[in-house]
Amino acid sequence: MSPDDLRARQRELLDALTRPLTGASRARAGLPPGDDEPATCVARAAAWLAPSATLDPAARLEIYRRQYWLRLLGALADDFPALRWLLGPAVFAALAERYLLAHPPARADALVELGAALPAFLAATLPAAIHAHELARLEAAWLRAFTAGDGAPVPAAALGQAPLALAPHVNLLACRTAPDRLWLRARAGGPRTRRAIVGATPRVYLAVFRADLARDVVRLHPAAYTILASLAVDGSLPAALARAAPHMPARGGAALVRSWFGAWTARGWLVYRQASAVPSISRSDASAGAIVAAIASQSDHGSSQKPLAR
Amino acid sequence: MPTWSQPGAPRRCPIGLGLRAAHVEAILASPTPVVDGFEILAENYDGDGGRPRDALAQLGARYPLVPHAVSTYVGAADGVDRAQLRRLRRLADAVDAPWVTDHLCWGAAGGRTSHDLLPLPCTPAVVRLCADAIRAVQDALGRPFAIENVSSYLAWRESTMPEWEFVAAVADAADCGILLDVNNVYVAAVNHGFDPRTYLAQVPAARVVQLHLAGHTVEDGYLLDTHDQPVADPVWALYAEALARLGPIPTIIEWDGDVPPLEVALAEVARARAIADRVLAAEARDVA
Repeated sequence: MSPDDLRARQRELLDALTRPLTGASRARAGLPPGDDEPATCVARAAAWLAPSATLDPAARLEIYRRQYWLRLLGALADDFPALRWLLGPAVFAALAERYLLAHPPARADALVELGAALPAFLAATLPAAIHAHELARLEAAWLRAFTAGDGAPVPAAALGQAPLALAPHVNLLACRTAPDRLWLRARAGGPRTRRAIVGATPRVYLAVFRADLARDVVRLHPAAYTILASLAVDGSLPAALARAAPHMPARGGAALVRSWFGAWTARGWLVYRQASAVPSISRSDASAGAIVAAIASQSDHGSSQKPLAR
Repeated sequence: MPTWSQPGAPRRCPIGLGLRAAHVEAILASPTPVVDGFEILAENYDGDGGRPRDALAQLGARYPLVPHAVSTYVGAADGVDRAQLRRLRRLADAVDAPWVTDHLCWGAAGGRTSHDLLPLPCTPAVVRLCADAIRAVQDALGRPFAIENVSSYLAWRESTMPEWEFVAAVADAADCGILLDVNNVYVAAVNHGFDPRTYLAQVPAARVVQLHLAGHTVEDGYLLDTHDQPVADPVWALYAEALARLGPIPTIIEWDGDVPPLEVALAEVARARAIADRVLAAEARDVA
């Protein structure tokens, strides 16, 4: 068998292994009944295999096919437990199968990245189920926060002296539902009532992050979210504060901004931006204290925005 | 840096565990070492931070650590993934790994992956393909690499040699080590209908750097390598035979599914210890 022959066979065999399960294997994987006709490529691949004393080639191939699906469906169930609670095991399994067929695992990705595109897939396939795909986004952020790096934290005294970035473990989410509350309900195993799922909330802004090695989620003031999201984009503190200005409360903005930056630096959320991504920054921009004071002054006197619920 | 064998120590078989997240807290809380070393599933620890990397930093100060990968795929006709090798190198450097292991198998093709360990056709051409890949892996890792025999449930019609000859031929051609998984030998022997003792007798002893033990599940017409229960009695018997032939090779017990409390896994370590001490003592008496 030449390397080219081996390459062709490996591709065909992988194609056969990843075809949807049929018959009893579907039930074993918790999948709804489907087309029981095995794909032609499965029969073709089985022809390359030898029988054992107890199993014919197709049955031997089926072991791997079943394990492929059990492994991947199990990994998604482990990674998205709250979404599985929300949808129920059967609907979740059917969704996961469709997702895996649309997004088969790429060689470059680790198993932990298997569900990275699930929130977007959910949003595209079930656009009305906003609560479901926002919950999936939250759980995907949990996964990223678990192993992402810390970055080099910027001490409070050094703010404004260099372009900033968010620590890699910090994930920002702007949501139309309240996935954090839904996640807590899922963890408690509560009933999936309509009130629990939909709720009535204004827009919710979340930071999913790691603290003392444990994952955590907090709600953010809209202006705080805007500052952090802006820093994530270009690292410019003046630009971030300017973008946040419309969202600042009419009074007390300076103290609020100071308290946010104090908390963020204490948590290590603000890190030095990598040199390759450093946008230009003029010398006149260098004093964060002056900028904070300026934006606070503007907020204290000029903003017509009402404070939003935290 | 902790090592598997202590200079001047009496002849003793190092025995360790595959590290599982559920056990880390109890291991770190123990005032004395619970085992001789740990194997770490490389892909679970190659992230940039968080609890996994913190656990390695703490454990690495007290125990020898060996990265065990599952996605190098030295038998993939498309070649090895250079990005994965870079991550593996970074991890191996971080824990000062004496060697790195992965399976003699394929699992990816055409840019996609199965996340499985798929058996290869045992032919001279595939021996050459795997050996070329392993030499590249060893160069990239900057340290010895060992290949593990896989559990398998299918066999290629085009194979021209038994698996033990294939493993030996690849190791010789690549000049690499062998991680002999005793449970996998037994599972493959039952599934393919050969005598596992023949396998053990034919493995090139000088190349074996590590042994694996694990549990399997009896299915309808085959054995499935599940790593979710204690090591089976026939596998313990094979382990004793392997030690008698190979000597005190570092041994790792794997338990990946339905992970039990640490004390249950340590009971398996104690059983392996008792077998190793008995076999090595008998060997010493024979020499005397």
